[in-house]
Amino acid sequence: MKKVCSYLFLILTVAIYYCSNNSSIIEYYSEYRIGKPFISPGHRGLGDLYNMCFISEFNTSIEYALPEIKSKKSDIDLYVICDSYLMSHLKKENVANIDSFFKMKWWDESTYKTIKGLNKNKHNILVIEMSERFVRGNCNNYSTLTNPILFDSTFQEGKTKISLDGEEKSFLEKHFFNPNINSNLEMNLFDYTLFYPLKEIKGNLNYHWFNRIPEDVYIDKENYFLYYKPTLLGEQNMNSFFPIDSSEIDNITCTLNRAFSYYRNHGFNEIYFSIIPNPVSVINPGLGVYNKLIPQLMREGQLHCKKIDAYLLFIKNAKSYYINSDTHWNSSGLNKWVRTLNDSLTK
Amino acid sequence: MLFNSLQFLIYFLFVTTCYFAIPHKYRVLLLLIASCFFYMSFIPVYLFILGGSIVVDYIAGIAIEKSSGAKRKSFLILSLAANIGVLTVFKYYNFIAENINLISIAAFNSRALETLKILLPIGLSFHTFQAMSYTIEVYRSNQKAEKNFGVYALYVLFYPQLVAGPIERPQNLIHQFYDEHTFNIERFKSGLTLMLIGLFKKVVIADRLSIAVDYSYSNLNQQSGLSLAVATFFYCFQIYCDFSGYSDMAIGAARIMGFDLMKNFNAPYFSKNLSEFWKRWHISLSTWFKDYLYIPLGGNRVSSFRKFFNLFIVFALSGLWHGANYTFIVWGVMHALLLGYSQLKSYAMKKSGILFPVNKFTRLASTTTTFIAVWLTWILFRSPSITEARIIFSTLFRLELSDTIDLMLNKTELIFCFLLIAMLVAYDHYIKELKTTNTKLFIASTILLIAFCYFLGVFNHKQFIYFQF
Repeated sequence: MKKVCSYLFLILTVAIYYCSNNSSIIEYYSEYRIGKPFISPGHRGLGDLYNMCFISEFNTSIEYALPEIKSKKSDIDLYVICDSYLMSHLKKENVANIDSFFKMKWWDESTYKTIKGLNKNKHNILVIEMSERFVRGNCNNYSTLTNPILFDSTFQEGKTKISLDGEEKSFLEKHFFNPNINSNLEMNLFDYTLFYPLKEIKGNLNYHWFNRIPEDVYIDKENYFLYYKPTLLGEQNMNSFFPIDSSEIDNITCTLNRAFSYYRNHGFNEIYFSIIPNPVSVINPGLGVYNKLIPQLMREGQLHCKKIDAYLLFIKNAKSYYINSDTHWNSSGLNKWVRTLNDSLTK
Repeated sequence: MLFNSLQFLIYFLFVTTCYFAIPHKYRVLLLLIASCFFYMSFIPVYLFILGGSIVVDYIAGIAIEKSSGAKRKSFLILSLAANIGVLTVFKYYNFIAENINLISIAAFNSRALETLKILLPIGLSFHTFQAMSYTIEVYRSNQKAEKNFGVYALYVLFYPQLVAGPIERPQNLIHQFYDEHTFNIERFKSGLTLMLIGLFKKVVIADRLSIAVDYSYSNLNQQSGLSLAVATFFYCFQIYCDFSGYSDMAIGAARIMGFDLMKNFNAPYFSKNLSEFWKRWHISLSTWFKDYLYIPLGGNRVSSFRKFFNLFIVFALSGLWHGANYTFIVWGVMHALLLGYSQLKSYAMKKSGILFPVNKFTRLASTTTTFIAVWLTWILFRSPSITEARIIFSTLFRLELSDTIDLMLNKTELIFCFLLIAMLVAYDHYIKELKTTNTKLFIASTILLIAFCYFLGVFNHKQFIYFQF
């Protein structure tokens, strides 16, 4: 009996280790466990910043709801390149008068598309959405902006796509020494609702006794908001308060315009561009000196595309469009932005 | 794979269960594979370097045993040269090159040597010294050359003590690989408790104190004398808990599997003089230097001047062992000077017939004086360069009690840090090692330690300080 138990235990430890090491299994399990009894993730429906600090005051559940729109028959194919602000929320039925809908997520190659070309019988619209904290790091890189949709006239459906980063993980890293193994183990072993009360005790204790919160979180006590710290105190790229000079703005504008030309030359009839402000840029810009990245980029005539100026949309009553325990907007923010998109598409 | 990580927890559970589940004859192989895996989790390719020195020392051991006279000595020298060579290339080459370049730039306005862009293999100084102790002991005929390559490789690679010691001796460890260990509940209980105490020292004490120390030492210009004094005081306990915590975890993990590793710390801050301090701090390294350097140089049986010279050499090299930086060398030299002074003082007092009465007060006074000496020398150990150390010393000499303390800690956390230190001191003085014979007490202490580590621990995956050596 002892032997059987020890062998079972060995199998269990190997399984836990291997599953936590293998990125594909982790991805599959993260999706699979959603909504399943006992194994459903504890973080689901709670803010990402709350999930870093576990301070009970910020334990607010998050729900998104977008109205379905009765669309007329249309010849619009809509392509959206977006980040987590839109990726899991925006669906075809939420957008007015479109025939086909394609979504690609920045830096997630599995969502990138390699296509022969656009359907020329359709009206092709491209929406590019990006969060403010990613603009400085990525909008001066042409290939980052054009990789999500690759046009390849020789491409055949079903064939393996070209790997964009070109660097395959080494055998050892892939099977044994994943650098993220500890966070994966944490997720597999302890990211369950059952453990959340303990995590809250630890979070509260460290915050209330020692005024200590995780490195990446900032508490705005005045507005009762959590911010992602790099967006106000971090290195240049994400920080809303890190000064930006006109040459950098020109450089970003120039690269964006080149990318728009790339998409236009491949057949897109309209291109929309939108930057979603960092919460701190609109809720408490007084925490520093806002570098006005979005207002400067969205200046009339600079970008050769149509714009959805989310900064102007959210600057008034900003708190009502963001979640106080998350890096993203809330349902009102999402709805307001999608309504603006729909208004533009139906004009 | 840090001891304070989930990855190690799963790995340790697997290896230990497997160790007791398989027949004895396969256990060396299992531990060898497990140890290679453990080492590769840091930087896989460095296993080849370690493998190379293992092969050299294994062959050297057999060759030394089979030969005699000058040949025997030359095999030993060859093996030591190989080990010191690897250590020099990876640990000291850039330091030497930079110093030569300083001279050549001053003299000829050009760089003489290019520096290498290499990472120091983790725990290199530890396993190199352990490997050297093997060939020296074989040369001295205190240990038979190990014929089983797997057992010898395991002696160097044994994962609990591979990256930060204790630096074992072949006489103590090798025979244990041949012993058949069965699972023993008492060993399990005491091993687990020791591991948890080590974890507590690391994540609750060392990593919390490091918040203040790191902040203070990286903002030297804004620090008051009192802040720096407190930060350095915290560093005394940070480094002690960090290193002795690692040693406790290593000894505990080995104990569960049936192995006995040597004790590495014995309440060092209760030492009444520096000589005693070095018998209680990093015992495995101190005894290594004593056995393989100090005694061969003549030890105590030489003239006073020669004895002091020997001390100087041993401590300067011991400082250099810690890292390729002048701060470590000066740290070692300072210890040698203080040790020389205290020996000279006691010699002079003995000669003149002055004897202080030994009572509680004088014991406390000597313990306090020794602690202050150690505390001041840690400044050099922690400073990134001599320039910074000089700034700290000059700020400390301007210390005023009205100075403010700014260590990035609020009042509660500051008090908590002092409480933790008080707890540690009380533990070292009164308890030393938790008794685990009473099962109820064992369960209660295990739950308490886990709870303390989880709720009050700082889990920022900070490496152990001694890994860099």
